[in-house]
Amino acid sequence: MDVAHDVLSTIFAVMAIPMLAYFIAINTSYLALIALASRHFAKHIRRSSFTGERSMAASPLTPGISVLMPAYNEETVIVASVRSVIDLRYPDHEVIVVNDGSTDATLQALIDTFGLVRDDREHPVRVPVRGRIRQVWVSAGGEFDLTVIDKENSGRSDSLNAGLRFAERDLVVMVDADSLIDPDALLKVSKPFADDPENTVATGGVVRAVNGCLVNRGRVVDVGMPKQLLAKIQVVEYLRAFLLGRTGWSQLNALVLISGAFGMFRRDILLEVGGLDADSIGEDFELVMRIHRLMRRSKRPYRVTFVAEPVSWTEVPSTMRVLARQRRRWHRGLWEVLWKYRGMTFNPRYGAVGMVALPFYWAFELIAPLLELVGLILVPLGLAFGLVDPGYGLLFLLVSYAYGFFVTLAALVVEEASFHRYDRWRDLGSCIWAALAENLGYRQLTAIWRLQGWWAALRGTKQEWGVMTRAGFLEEPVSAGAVSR
Amino acid sequence: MPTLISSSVVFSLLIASTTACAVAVVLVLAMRLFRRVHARRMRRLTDRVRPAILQTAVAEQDELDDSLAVFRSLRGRARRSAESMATRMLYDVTGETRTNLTHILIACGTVKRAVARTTSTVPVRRARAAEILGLIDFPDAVGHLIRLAQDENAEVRSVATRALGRTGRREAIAALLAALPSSSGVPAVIVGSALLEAAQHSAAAISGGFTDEDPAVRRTTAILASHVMSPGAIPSLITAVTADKEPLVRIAAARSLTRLQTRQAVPALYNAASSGHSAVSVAATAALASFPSAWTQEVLNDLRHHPDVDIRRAATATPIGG
Repeated sequence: MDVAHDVLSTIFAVMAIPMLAYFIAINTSYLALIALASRHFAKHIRRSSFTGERSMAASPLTPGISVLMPAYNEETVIVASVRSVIDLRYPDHEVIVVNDGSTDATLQALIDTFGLVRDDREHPVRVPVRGRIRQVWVSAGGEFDLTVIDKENSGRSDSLNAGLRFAERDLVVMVDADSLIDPDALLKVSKPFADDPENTVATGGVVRAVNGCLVNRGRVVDVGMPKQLLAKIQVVEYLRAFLLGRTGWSQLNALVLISGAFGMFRRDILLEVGGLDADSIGEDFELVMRIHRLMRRSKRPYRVTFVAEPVSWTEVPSTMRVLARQRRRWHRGLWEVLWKYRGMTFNPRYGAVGMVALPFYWAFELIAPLLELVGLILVPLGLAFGLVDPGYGLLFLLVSYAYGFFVTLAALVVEEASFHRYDRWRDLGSCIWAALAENLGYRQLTAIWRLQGWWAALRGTKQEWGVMTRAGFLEEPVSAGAVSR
Repeated sequence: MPTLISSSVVFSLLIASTTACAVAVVLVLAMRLFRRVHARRMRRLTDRVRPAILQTAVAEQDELDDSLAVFRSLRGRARRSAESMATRMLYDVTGETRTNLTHILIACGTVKRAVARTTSTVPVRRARAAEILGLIDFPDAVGHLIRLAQDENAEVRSVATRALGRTGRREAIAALLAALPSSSGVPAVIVGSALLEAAQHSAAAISGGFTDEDPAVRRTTAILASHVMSPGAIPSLITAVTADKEPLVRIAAARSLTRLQTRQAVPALYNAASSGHSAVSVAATAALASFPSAWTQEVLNDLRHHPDVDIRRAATATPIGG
């Protein structure tokens, strides 16, 4: 017992100050990102009366966009998804659906609904694709430009590469078949390319949780908070980390992660980097890192920009099992990419990406769950061995949770001042409750799952994607004139 | 840990962070409440001014003065509400309705304020002023917009350039052409779109762009040519598709020729398709493939045996094209 006491005592002595510094640094850096994002939003709101979107929507000079949509067993949603993408407000866009060896009627549903005909022309070979392309189908009428690539199953990244082969427009956007896209999404996310065509190489749009929202014909018509606490917490988590965090990084020109559910890229750059890495778990992160490396090494001026307006809606996991799998995969992807690009970390050649963003991701994204769990183990042990005064320990715990709660509340304040999409009082109440509840079990659980993902990567265990169990959208009744939920 | 920081400091930290949380909650609730109350008030005001705006928008000339009296008397939020509604409508209307809505904004004092703001020290205000001046049917606006199109701030220049195009006036063309070079800092998409909006006056003016030194100017000219100059643009486009030293200009010229569908362009496009630059070759081949097959059968047969798969693909008719 004495040995354990001594060991613990030494651990406390050694770790106390670094842990405290870490705790202050992580939350303060989140606050700094939120402050940067707030500044951007204030600027953005002041400019809302002269965005020029109407002009862009009508101009034949607006750069064309190829929308790539990989689909695997999406027969229930594919037609609505494709239709909603075809109907997006944009003067020149083509839709390329890649049927990734679906075993259901995804392909047939597309052929029947959109009257597709076989395209027997030779296939372009601009980027490597592993899965054999079986057949290409194209829309026969002139009203819309739809291509469907039917290929053997080889995963999302490889499917996107297959789509990239056939993309003809100057810009390429990658969307998920199960995501819902706002009608003006292409206009908003392509605007940085129109404003700064020489330098902008990639843009990302905000992805929000569709759980609890009312959907009509593939469009979110009424935004609401989900009923399940797990999904509610993810809504505020997305707000803090994705909307505000990424906007903050974008302001520093150090955005390293663009969500795969809505990312837009210059086609020539995508081809130059060779498309997506089909072996990577964090393929979106990996792609953006490869673009950063290419642009920095070739000393070309460039920007990766985040567009803060909500453009895409996706269903977040509503069960622990699916959430656990998602977080394990995310963390594993994070580790693999950080490790792969470790040479860029603290390397001044890579500017803010190398000197700020990557060290942040190592210290505050990758290692955070480990330290959180160490704290969760050490504090009870310290209490048991009389090394920590219970009153003091409790006080310290309360401070850490209050600070974490405040960071999320600050994100809610910014959301309320900018986009305020959760308009009902009860939704606001739900957000505040979720921000509080996030610290009481959720964060600790996600820390465990993230560590499991990291551990699996270190051991080299094969990554299983699993199936995302979907609860489906709240569809608005066809006859309903008024929104009712 | 007990020796790390004293309990009183931790307790103070707890009080500080709890207070910060409470302030954040109060702030978010107050913002929501304010926004709700404000939105309700604006809705009421909009409901009040909407009939007057709609009536004035479609009023005949002799009724206009009486209709405008309402707007001259508006103050504060009611005036702002009328301004906001009339401005929003201006994006979607033309002709007499646009003129009438302009009169509403003049009666509200909006135009006078916008003109005054063109000299504001705040760039966002100048940009907003430019946006308003571009929407209205007001001859004096062009002079202010031309000045703003040379503003020191790039954002103001962009908004003013777009607004100049929207006015559709002849006087705007010189300023728009001056914004074409990449050194102007105004994105080519904005300048090009503005020249398109003022197409009736810009057609003759842009033809000089084909020989400009700046590739950005030549490229935008090549894109615009098929929209505003056709068929007068054909000789210049044919020259550009083969002779321009910048691939992006040659691609733009090939795409423009696709739109113009002229047999004259076949030899030049074939030359471009056989050039060493893959993207140019693909664009030229795609243009040829879009022409009636009677004009291009021979050259496309040849291109179908090209070593570059993208060119072979472009030369092969799509199932839709037959």
